[in-house]
Amino acid sequence: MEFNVFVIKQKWPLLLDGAIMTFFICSASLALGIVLGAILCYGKMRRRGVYFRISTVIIDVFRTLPELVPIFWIYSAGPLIFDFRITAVGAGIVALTLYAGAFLAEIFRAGLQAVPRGQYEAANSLGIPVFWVYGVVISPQALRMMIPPFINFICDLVKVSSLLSAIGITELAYYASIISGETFRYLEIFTVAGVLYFMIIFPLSMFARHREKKLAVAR
Amino acid sequence: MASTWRRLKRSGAAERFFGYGSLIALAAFCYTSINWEFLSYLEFSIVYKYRLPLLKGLGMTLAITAATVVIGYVSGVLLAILYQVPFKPLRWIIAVHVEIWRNTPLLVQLFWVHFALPAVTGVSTSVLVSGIIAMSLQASAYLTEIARAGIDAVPKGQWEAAHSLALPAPTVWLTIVLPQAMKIMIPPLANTAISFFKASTVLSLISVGELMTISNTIANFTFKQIEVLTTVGVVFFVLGYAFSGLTYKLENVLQRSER
Repeated sequence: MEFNVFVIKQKWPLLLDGAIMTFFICSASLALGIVLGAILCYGKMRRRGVYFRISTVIIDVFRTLPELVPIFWIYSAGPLIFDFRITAVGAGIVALTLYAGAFLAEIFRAGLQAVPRGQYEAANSLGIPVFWVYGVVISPQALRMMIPPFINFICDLVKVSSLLSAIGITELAYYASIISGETFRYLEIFTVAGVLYFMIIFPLSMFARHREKKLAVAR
Repeated sequence: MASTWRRLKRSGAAERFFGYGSLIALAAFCYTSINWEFLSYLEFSIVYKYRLPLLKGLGMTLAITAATVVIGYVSGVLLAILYQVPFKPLRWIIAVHVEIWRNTPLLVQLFWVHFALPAVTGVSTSVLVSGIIAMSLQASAYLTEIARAGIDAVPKGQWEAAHSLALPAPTVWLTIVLPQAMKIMIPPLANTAISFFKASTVLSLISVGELMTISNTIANFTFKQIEVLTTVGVVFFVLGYAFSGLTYKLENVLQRSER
């Protein structure tokens, strides 16, 4: 066994390109997923009615399905159903957005429900308008509760985005398998790819754990 | 202005506007950009025709999940017990193991175990074995954390009582600490099992022969992607949903037995 550093030096820019693509895909689907998650969370908080049923179904389906199923479904069944052509990147972002929306809706809901009822009642009894109750009283407390699970979810999203290499999106895992396939240097390339992923995910999860500890102390 | 807004809100007009608006947008999207001809090509009998390979794949998925959870559980509990040994380097090694396998994607781990590990050890493994190795390593990392939390949750008084009775260490672990810790571990263990049931689809990327691999092969062979992938999605959803419902029930039962 030998560890060939030359391959890494030569192919380093490609891997970095892949890391940038991973970052782009994750941030795009996270931004869209926050919007979708907020809408689904609103529906879920209604507790009854059409909005509640629709958002419950969407949340349950995309939380329970393995991530590869919607990815493959949208990528391979999309062109059969739609008139327009959907690119691989588009399919990947749509799939990850649905995944992110479902998980974020539950995170938002848990955060909002973790705020004590007394806070709502106190704000209402002071006659604060509903918009300001949520904007000024509830959301600062809820957001603080949401930070650790939110950051943990970003870690999961980065991990799931590696599955997009299966439909040929040029992100980090895709470049790693392509480069190692053509140079037969699996050990070096995949170690570097793993280290890159670790460098993205580990600080985030450390930060989440730190915030969690802080929250536990505050309580 | 404010009163108008409040009246609108109370009458639910804003919501109705949003609801009907999105309904109209959806209808317009369906009308303009969906090619409805695909409905006439749908042929769900293809799933019945290939039911035997699909069922075999499902069995394989369940077997891989079970193997992963069992191996991960045993090694996770062992590592959590070793973590209690007051010897710093051992603790660091276990912590590094947990962090590495928790903070990298399963896909990279899988490729690393399948393609790179043989270069290190000199023993090449079959796809199934490397899939199970990669998943068990990740499971052991997650379950070490869970087991450690479970052991920490055993009340301190239990330890002190055991020590004051001068019980030997194996007795303390086997008859006092572990039974209580394992009861605390049951709900997170079930959740981990569900997440590894989902994660087993990743093994399709090295063609292990579980449900996802087989359905992809059939879909690409027959060009009936919609039917096969939808069916597989329904199977995964029904199994996962039933299992998470059971977990939820189990959690309630355990919580009630605490009191």
